[in-house]
This record gives sequence, structure tokens and C-alpha cells, in this order.
Amino acid sequence: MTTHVSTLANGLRVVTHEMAHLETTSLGAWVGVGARHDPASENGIAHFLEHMAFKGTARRSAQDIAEEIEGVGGDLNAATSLETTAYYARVLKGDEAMALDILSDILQYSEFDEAELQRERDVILQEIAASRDCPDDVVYDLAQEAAYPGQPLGRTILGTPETVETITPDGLRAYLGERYVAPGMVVSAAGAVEHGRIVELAGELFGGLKNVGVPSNGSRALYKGGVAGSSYPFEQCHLIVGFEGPSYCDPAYFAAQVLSGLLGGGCRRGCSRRCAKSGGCAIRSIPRSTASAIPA
Amino acid sequence: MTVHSATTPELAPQLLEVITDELVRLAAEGPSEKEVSRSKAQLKAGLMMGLESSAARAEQMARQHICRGRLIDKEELVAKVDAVNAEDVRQLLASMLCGEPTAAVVGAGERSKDYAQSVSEALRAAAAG
Repeated sequence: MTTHVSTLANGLRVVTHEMAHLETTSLGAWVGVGARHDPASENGIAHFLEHMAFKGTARRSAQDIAEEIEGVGGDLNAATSLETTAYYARVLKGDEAMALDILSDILQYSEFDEAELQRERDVILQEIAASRDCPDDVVYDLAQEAAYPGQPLGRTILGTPETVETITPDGLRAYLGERYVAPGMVVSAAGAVEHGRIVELAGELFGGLKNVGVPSNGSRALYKGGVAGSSYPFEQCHLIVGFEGPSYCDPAYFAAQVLSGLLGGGCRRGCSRRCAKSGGCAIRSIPRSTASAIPA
Repeated sequence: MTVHSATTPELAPQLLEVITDELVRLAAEGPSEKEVSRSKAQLKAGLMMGLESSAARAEQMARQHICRGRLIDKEELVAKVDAVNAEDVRQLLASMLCGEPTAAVVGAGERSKDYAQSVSEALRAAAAG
């Protein structure tokens, strides 16, 4: 496998996989902070920042960012999870420099214009409202809160309307400056890439990232467990049963993956048969592991 | 680790029973070799299919670096999946069932929380005895 890893002078890691037969490249910057690092009073800030990163920099307006990537037929997107925030693009071979330039620009030089922030706040409030209409999301959020009460992992990625109201341009700038630091980030590229070229580009474009320690996560997540229910009128009844599972670094992690496939992946016929007999239901099982052993 | 299931509100009581029974039975009897090998095959196929998508591969490499501090090659991943046996799976589930369960229910109106409570109690009773 033609996989290479380099660490730049500022601590930024660059990982590539050269897939010789491809004509396109997927690449992006992954930041080792997500919703579980949100301060309680600013729950939703990691996700809010991910939205605001596309709203303009000193060099590019929001429209420039969209048009530049669309002009070469590329895709540009981002996602916030509990552990990470990802900014990524897919482009034709030869357009990697342009894609990395946009990514490095939005991650280091976003302006967080007040008017754009107000507009995006409304978008996020709509996302929260949509999520509250979705039984899959509501039952998951309730289970997560019951499993980790009063802790960052027990809160939602989107935040609440109340906490989203408190987020300001200065708050985003402070968060970005403190959390988006070189040693906590990884530039990853797979496809029609050449490692040396990506390392060279990353050195030029992400050189402004600070080489300082990643702030501590605070306390380790402590699973408690419990029960929760919502009387909101959904058409379907959803049940989540959860347990404390192994972390990514636990040797039992792979047994958890096999168990999850067994319970939810159609491997255990008895369960599906009994469900079919009683009138039909859908089951899936997800091993939700967290990185408790790696300081990030 | 979560099991998420859904059905019509009328069938909810049966669903709660099926899920609870299956978890308790699986923890006691363990899965069959055939079930384990099917699940392992699906996991390995999913891993290999993922490795062939450049977008999935870029994300996988980044996550491995952030969460584990290193890349894990596909031979190592496959070897770790291959090493899992039926007893590992049974023991893991049995030990999870000994801990405090989490249960959440929506879509059953005012009964939602009672349903969650009854699942939790059934699982705790099974673990205790």
C-alpha cells in the first residue's frame, strides 16, 4: 500500500494514499476537536464554526468559495462529529493545489462577518428544529443524554436554540485560535496524489497554524446509563438500548464491531424472524466508541 | 454501543420484548459460529470496499491518526477481525449487560418513558439473576 505520513515543522501531520489508477483526489483537513469539546455554555460552537468557515475570508467571499470549487467541477463540504471536525474536497487530478488553498484559507483566515453569522444562526436554528422533528435524532439524543448526563458527550452536536444564541464572531475567533492548532490537525489525501507534492503544498499553505499544545479535553467521559422518553407525537415508535462499549483503543473494540453486525446487520436470523412474525420492525446496531485513550 | 429499533406504536410492547430477549439470550448462549463468520465477512467486505473509495480512505486515514495516533494497515485490521470468536462476542455482551443500561423511547406518547423504564428493568433483572 502506498501510504505515507509526514509531520511538518509546526506539528501538522500529512497523510496520503497514492491510488495510481484514479483520476480524482479526495483531500481535506481533519481537526481533532468536535462537539464533545464544546464548553457547556457554548454547546454547538464546533458545528457553528464549521458552518461559518464557508462564509468568507480576507481573500474570498462566500460566493467566491462556492464558485471557485464548482468552476473545476469539484465538491467542497464539511462535517462535525463528537470527536472531529472535517473539511474536505474532491477534485480532478491537478486541482489539488487549488482545493488545498481554499481549505487552508477558510481554516486560517475566515472573517466571521456579523451579518453572515446572524444568517447562519437562523440556518442552524432550522437544523435544530428539523432534528427535533426526526424521531431517529430525538431518540438518539435522549439516549446520549441518559448515558452521559451533564457531560459534553451527553449534549447534542447542533447545540440548543439557547446556546446557539450566545455564539458571537469573537467567540468563534477565540475558539478557532485555541483549538485549530497544527499538532491537533491532519491533512489527508487519497487518490491521484503524490505525497511529496501534498507535503510541499501543506507546508506552504498551513504554515500559519500555531505549533502549540492542543488544549485538554477536560474530564474523561463517564458513562452512567439511565432511561428517557419523549411524548412528542411521532408516527413511529423508536427504541434505543445502549450499554457502555469499548473505546477505540480497547482490545474488545473488534468484538464490539462483530457483535454490532450480528445484532443489526441481518446476521442474527432469529431476531429478524421474530420481528417479522410480530408485524415488522427495523433494527440496526451501532458500536459507538470514543477515543478515551488518546489525548486530543 | 447501541441497538436502535423502530416499529408502529401498537407493536411497541412486542418490540421491547424481542430486543430484551435477544440480548439476554445472546449473552447467555453466545452466537453460532455461522452468525459470527457472517458478521466478520460483512465487516471485512465493508473495510475493503471503504479502502477503494478515495473519500472514505482519506477520512479513515485522518480519523486513525486523530483517534489512535497512527495508521493501521488493512492486514492488521483484517487480522483483528479474524481473531474474534463467538466466545469473545458472548463475553463482551455479557459484561455490557452487567452494567447500567441506557434505554430511550419516542413515539409511544405518554407511555414512552414507561417503556424505556420497563426495558431497563428487564435487562437489569436478567443481569441480576
